[in-house]
Amino acid sequence: MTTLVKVVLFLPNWRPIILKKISVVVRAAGYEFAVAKSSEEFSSMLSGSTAADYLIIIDSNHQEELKKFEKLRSNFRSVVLHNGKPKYLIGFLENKSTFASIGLSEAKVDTRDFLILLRKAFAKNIFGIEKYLARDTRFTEFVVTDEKSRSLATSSVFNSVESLAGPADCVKYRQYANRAAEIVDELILNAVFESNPNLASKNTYEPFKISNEQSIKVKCGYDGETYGISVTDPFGSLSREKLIKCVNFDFHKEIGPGAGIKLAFDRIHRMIANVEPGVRTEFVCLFQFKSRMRLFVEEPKALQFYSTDESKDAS
Amino acid sequence: MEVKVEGNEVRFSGVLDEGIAQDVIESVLKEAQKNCKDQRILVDYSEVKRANSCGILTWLQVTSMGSYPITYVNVPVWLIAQFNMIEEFMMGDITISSIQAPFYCPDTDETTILTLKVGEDIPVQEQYDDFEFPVQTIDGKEYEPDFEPSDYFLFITFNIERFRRTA
Repeated sequence: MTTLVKVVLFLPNWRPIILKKISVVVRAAGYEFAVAKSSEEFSSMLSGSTAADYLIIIDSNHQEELKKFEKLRSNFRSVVLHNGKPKYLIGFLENKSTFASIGLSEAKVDTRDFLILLRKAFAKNIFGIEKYLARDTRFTEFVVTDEKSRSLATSSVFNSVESLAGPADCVKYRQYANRAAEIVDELILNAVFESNPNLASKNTYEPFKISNEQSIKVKCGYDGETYGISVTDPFGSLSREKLIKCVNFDFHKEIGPGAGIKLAFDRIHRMIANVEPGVRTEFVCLFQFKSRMRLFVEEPKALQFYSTDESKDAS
Repeated sequence: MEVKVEGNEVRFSGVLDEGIAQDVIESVLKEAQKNCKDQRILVDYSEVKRANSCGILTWLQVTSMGSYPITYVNVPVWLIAQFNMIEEFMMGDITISSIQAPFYCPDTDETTILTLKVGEDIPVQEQYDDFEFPVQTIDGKEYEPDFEPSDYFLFITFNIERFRRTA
């Protein structure tokens, strides 16, 4: 049975061009939508019929409105947008309704990403890196069961990025290749040692060997604009709280579990965690190469969390 | 990861990961310390491509105890990011003599890595918010710093007294 979805934008003081871009994407997703210009208008729009599911796209400065609304009804989900200063804000994921916290700088809205986000908001079909890259992207896949296969995956990712360099780009793409390899390495370590209940007591610097049933799947691809890496484990033990804890990891206090996810998040632009509890967890990491490393480093970040427990079929 | 000790210099190459054991790190640092008498141990990571959290943890478990007087030289870009994120890198008897930094030529779209000396090329100061790093001219091409000084030199800002003493 499908349910009507209504999208409400509450982005006061945002540039009209961004509202316009988001509006176009919402219409493309086939959703009804409305723009609230004030807190009163926002409350009034959401106090209507309870037949619909609501998707709220809201400015990060209006968290109180969101909390107020969460007390009144539960059939809604929310996306928090911020202006990219600081680069990322993840506290909003503590709100049960919020599944994405996205930094936008200037007038840049990645319309493809936004469309995917809208479609995944109420869907059970949340998995797959393919959604985020162009249709004919060629992916390379690896199955990790031990140190040798892990090393192969990491070095292959490094080589695949480094090989994108032209004669004048070697230095730059080597930096990117390092980042990509670091990301894969950390996510594999996390999948092997943090997610696998059988290896929870093992030190991460010990050699490992796992069965095919427990193997980690790694996938990477580049569509000419976005480079994507996904790492999937067959355990599904990631929770919203655990993800927040990992991404908030404070190196000034300790190094330990969670450090790897933090290191990976620090190196990419978009991180998407997809979970089917008890079955599988998929981390999708996306980034775009820039002509200047400085632009790469300064790009605002987005963090998204989807769980099949929190989704339902809707249209 | 491979390691070479020449006098008081310790040079690593490869990848810093769980493949390096703590006792190996301790033995090379001890050897360099024996060789260096009153000098500091110079540690060069410029030939190390990258590191993971396991390798970093192992390294820090040895160096943050303060048993070895270490001066990092030619610190690569990936390690600068670690210095700025992880306080433990500066715990113990640690100084930094020179670092690598990315520079970009807008005319040719080329990136290059240059080595900068702390205290000479990089003035030691409390903050770098208004600091503009000069353009470097190499073979007739002008390279701008491809980093934000206030972010890239955070490790100096956070340890300003130490850098003032050693500059």
